[in-house]
Amino acid sequence: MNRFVPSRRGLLRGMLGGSAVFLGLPWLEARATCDTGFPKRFGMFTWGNGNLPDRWTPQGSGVDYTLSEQLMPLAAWQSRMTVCTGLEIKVPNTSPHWSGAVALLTGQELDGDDDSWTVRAPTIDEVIADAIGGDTLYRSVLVGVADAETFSYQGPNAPNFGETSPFALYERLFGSTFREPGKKGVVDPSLGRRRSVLDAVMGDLDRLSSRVSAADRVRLEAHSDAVRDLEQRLARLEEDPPDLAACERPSTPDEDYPDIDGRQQLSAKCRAFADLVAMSLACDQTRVFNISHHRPLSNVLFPGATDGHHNLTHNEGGEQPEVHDATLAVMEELAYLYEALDRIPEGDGSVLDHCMVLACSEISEGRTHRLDEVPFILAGGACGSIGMGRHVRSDGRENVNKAMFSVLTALDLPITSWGAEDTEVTGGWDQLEGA
Amino acid sequence: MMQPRLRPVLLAVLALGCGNDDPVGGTDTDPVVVVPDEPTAVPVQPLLRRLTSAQYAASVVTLLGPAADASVRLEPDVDELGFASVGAGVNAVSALGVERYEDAAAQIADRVVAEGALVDLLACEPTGPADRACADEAIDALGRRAYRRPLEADETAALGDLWQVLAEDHGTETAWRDLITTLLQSPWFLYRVELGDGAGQLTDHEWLTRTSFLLFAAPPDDAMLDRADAGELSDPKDRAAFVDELLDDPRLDAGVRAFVTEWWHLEELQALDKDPLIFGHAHPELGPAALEETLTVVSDIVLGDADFRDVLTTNRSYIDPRLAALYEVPAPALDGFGWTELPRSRPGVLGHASFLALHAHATRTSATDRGLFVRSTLLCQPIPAPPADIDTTIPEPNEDAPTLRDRLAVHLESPSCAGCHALTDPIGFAFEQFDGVGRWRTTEGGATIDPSGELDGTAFADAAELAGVLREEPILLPCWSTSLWHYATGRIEAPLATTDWMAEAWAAEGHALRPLLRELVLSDAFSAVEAP
Amino acid sequence: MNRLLPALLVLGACKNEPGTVDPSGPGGDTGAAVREVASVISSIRFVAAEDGVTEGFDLDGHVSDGGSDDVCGKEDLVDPDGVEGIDNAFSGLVPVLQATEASALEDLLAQSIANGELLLLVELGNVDVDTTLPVEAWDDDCVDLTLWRGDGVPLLAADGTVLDDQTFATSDPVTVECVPMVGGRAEAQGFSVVLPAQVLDVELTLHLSDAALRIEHLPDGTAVGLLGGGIPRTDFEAILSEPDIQDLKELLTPLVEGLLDLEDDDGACESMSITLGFDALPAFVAR
Repeated sequence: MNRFVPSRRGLLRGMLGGSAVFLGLPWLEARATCDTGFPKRFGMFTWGNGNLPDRWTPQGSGVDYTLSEQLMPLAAWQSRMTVCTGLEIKVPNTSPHWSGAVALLTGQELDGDDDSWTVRAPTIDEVIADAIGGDTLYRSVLVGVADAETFSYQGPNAPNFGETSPFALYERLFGSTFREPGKKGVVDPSLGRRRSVLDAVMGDLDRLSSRVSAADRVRLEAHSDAVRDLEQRLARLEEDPPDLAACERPSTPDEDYPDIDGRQQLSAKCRAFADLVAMSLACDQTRVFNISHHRPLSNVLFPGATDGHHNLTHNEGGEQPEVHDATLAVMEELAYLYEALDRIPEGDGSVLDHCMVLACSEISEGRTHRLDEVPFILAGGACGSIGMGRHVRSDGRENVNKAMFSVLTALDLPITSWGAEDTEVTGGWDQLEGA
Repeated sequence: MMQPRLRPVLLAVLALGCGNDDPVGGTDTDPVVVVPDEPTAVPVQPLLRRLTSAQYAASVVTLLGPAADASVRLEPDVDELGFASVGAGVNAVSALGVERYEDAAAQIADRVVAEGALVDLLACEPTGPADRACADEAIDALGRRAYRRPLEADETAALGDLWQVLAEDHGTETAWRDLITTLLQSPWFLYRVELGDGAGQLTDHEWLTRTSFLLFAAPPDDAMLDRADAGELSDPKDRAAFVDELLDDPRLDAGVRAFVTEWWHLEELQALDKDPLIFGHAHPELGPAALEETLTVVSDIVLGDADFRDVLTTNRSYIDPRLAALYEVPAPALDGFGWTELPRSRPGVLGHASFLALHAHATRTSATDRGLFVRSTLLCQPIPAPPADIDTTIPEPNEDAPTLRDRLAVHLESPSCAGCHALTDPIGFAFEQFDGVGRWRTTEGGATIDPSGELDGTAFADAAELAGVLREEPILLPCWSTSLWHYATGRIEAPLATTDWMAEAWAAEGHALRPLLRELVLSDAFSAVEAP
Repeated sequence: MNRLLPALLVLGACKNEPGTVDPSGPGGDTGAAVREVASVISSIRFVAAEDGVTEGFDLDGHVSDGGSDDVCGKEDLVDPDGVEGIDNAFSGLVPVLQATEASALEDLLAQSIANGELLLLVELGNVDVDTTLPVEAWDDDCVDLTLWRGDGVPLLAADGTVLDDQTFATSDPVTVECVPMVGGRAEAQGFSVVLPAQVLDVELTLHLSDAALRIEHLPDGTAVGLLGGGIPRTDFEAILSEPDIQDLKELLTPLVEGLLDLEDDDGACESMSITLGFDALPAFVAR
């Protein structure tokens, strides 16, 4: 379990002016383990186009608070989550949706303009995966429910895409290469050959890398890193899997989730993904996951909606009941995710107890692309690293980066700052950290 | 520097509009075509251009033959400047992307073996693992096709060593299968390497690859690689003669289709999302049929060497029964597609279901979106996003504002909106006589639709007149030249001198696309590359 | 198909020159008159009677009062405009059919249309009116009315009904030449047509004689109409001998017998009059 191969990735990232500045050798210090001996996990659940802040913000604060309308689907989880409100993404809103998304998840404003932009630094899930993802088969598992675009970036011009087929994810995680711990499974005989092939590919990447421009070299590095990760994964798959009581092959999802009446089966797919991701954590295949329900600007059709989601946020009149319903639908999927994680026992508790699950969206009010009142919910708490069961509200429109800093330190990353220049913070959010 | 090219001349006049006059003097000659001098080339930067999904599929077929099933799932293409081919030179592959390359390679290689197609791919069939000379020969042939250049000796040796070990442990068939997966995952296959010869030019093989992908949307085949290997593409005259052969090749059709598909984002037609409760003509086959229509019409214009701007104004189209029903015209063929004249009201590709349905929402039209396409893609006038913090809601249809034009008036009246909406919406309103799937209508909400407007000062009565106005826009050819440049070179930078020259050359050639392609691939600019 | 009556012009009546397609159409060049206007029947309904009033036609050319003058002795009905002598004896069967399993008859007819078994097109030819004008102005003394059988399986709209404006291959035309059209409404009488149909899992053929058809084009581009004619006893016998409906045979046979109201050429009471109502959508006949 402790075979750790340091990745060059973290070093390279740090030199690119990334958000997180590490002390010394980050990976040796960021061990992110609970007292129970189980590892801490990080998960992200994002959706696009925000919410309706007036119907989202709960009444009261601290442990005695009343859930708001839009949070009602999460009622059963009130004691296991902490709702953060009043935070603001502190960048100029030059590019609707994208300014918010980039700054929320990288801590810095985007690079470029509306026509052509990218991130300046990796997103938080990548930063955490760098720190705690090196021990497992997968640095992270990313899935996209409505579409493949997650809001995860390895770095500038290096977007991460999510798996959009639950069946394909199942095949990868629990297919021919999976062996249940304790059972005498057969090692997939093709693993060795695959490694030989990938080794040859790595040779070609090295050879080509020496001939190209500096900018291209960075792109090839990303390619090489991914090939190397894949190679290491295959090597690990030849070893016995970690002996984890809760780990077993889950049931197979549908091969296909065809549209019904021209609408995607969002809930069915999301839940299939949640189940797979939960078991993947229980089997310690990964410690970082990222579920994108739908991307910013998505016009996904929710059940019963008369128009695409993004269109509704701008064109639906009055109180925007369909936008409200869409937010509720997303919260129901979040509730299911909590349930899927909580269903799996781990130590004296469940997988959820050992997780820090961050649910957020790139804006609050969709109609005006507001960057204040950012939707931000933490759940699980990573074995008490952040206290759950509270509503923590900033009445001073504090920088959301502070909350992100708290999340990073809760996962034992030895960071000293998050963000850059005007958005930089050097400490966490006191209110959040005081349990 | 190129000399102006003059053809035998009797009439000293440019080709514009004078095509059919009998030449003075009686004998058959071409009218003069004076192509302007190419300006001094600005060399492009060296760049690794990853294959787009479509180029990957074509490359698999070139490498492994038509039996290779290239319908694999790769990570999505990312656009830059509206082109996947440009984004492919900017973005890095993701972890999922690399996994998908491995899965795809396995799937493709397994299929080749299962189909019994392996033996056809081997230039030499080794008798056993020890038959290295033969194995290396086969590896050289496959590798050259995969990497689009001859392998270097140590590359052959490395691949040969890998093959041999695999063959010893698992048999020659598995060894070939794994060799194929190695080639399919190699960066030399996945990236189009354009590093140059060190003296400021693309190598012959790099030029050949770039030209082949532009003209045929596929990598060079063995016959073409043979010419490069033999040095037959170095001399400018040889190169020009070679290009003439390529331009006469039927594969040019695929090249045109790929360019237009990327340029106008037509691949989205494969998954058109229209509410069937609102649009009776919505159907899963409608999008693909619309794609076929538009691509065939454009290709026909190109291969017929007609004025490329006819794509905007021709009424001649290629439709199947479903499109015919949508357009309310008799189907030219009861089964499949056929040529026919559409009504005057449907001008060129802007009257096709492809444009009209793609640039509309699932439940209704979008004048802004249609106007945006014209401005941004056809006129190279990008429109910025709305300011982030304003309320962009428009009123619901009501008695006072029954049509979309009425309801969008709110944007044209507000100072923070009008700047951009005044550029897009008047164009979009011209197409309001076509609903969200492209069906003709004259009223909305009981009120008559008004399709008239102005494009930068020139009035038009309806979409057909707008198309005519667009056709004469001075920026059209420079814009389209720039788009072609971005697509062909995959570069973000488009030197103005080069694209202006392309526009002039295009005009000089009677606005036909094929001669422009010839000028482009033979130009200094197309071949000039800086050292890394 | 029988073509009994005079003045029938068959294929070739109103053909375009080969190779030309009239480019006018929606938004097309105004002023060019479209020579044909075709509609495909998209739904069919049985026409019932209420208190002696029914839509329909006087198929046999006289008003029967049920007295001894008539071979069949059945009283004719009256149409909503007060016209007497309307022949629609089948309307007597409609309530009975609706009370039995046959209540889904019209759905079955709709299925037959959607799967191509009962495709009928009504085409007006030699139309000398500018059809871009509103339908109220469609006046022409002399148009040809053709009833075509549609071939093949039709394209369907998103709701499963026949898609409008599609092109059909056609066969077996029955044409009545030179009938007047007023305000987009035309009527033809005195022809014969064979209708294939699938009813109650039974494939049957109806040989309509003394048939009449009225079509009325509406401003929205669709049309409505009536098709009437006499169904011979032999058709009913064929239907009632189908194994699948033997349980209805006992009930229906005497009813059928009792409703026959049209004389044949030999003076025997051998046919039952029927009126069918239909909706139609714009279509093209392939040439």
